[in-house]
Amino acid sequence: MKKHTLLSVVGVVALIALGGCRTPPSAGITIESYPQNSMRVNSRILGGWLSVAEVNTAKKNDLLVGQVAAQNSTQKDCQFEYRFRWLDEDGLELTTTMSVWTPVSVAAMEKKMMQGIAPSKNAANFVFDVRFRRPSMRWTR
Amino acid sequence: MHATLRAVRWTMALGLAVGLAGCTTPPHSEYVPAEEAGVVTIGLDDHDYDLACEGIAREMLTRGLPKGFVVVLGPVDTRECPYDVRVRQMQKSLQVILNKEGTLKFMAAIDVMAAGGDAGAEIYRLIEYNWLNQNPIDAEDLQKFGKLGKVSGILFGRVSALERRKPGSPREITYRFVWELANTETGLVELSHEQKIRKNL
Repeated sequence: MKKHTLLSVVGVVALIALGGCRTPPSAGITIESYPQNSMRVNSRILGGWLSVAEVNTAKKNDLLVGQVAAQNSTQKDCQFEYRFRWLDEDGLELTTTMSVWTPVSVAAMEKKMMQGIAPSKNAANFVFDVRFRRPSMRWTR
Repeated sequence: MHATLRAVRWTMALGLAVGLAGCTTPPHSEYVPAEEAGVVTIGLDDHDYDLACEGIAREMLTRGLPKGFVVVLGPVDTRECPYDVRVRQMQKSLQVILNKEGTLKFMAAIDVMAAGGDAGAEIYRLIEYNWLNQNPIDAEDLQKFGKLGKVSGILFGRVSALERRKPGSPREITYRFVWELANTETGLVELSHEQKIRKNL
């Protein structure tokens, strides 16, 4: 009886542990800008650390500028990466090497401002991606 | 009793099988996304060049230089960096970014020296000498070079690296990129930008 109970407990624990075995989503928080200014949180884990305090957009020299302020809502320091991706009026992504994953560190309860400028006057919207820092070799075998 | 336990065991086994099914990973490819950081080393990696170019390009776009402004990448002092700095690669990356934007034209100084002839090459060598020896930028030299090469500005750069290691700690390196954009018409520095990239390995 004890052996059966032990096996059952092990089975339950293994099930719970393996349930989290799936590859986590790559994007943590995604924000789509003007005119929607909507936000999607794709990761429960990152969503628990960071919250978006404000989103601002402006035009500078006919180029769209986006600024996102993220608040670390925990008592621990956090490292993550962000990038801006730019869309034209038709919603098509503008290819640019300026859409680079930029690493940042945010201290406990700190509000971090992140800014990006569009690479072209054709940019009408932006998508702001955030994710936890990833090991650089995770794509290799 | 035994039937119940058997049922429980089968349920557990089924649950385990379902859980394990979520653990399978798709096959790997030899191709990895180029926009990811990739291999991180003590030297300047591909991702570092992207960050550096993005930084100075963002500054130049934010500053709002006049339409048709021709910028050349002038001398870049890398003597305070013990690791290889691919200046030509940075120049080409900046050229792509800025030419896509359309307002600015960007090229390397050596590409325009031919337009200036021997006089242009000579003046550029003077400008380069002054920059590498940390002498003040001569406004007259800038103006002459600007007229000969038909350029509006020269972007000067300085790349340095500071490496530190405490016993038992990982190595830490900080790269510092300092850029100055000098207007060849006025002879004045129009833009200054500094960016640091720090890595712990």
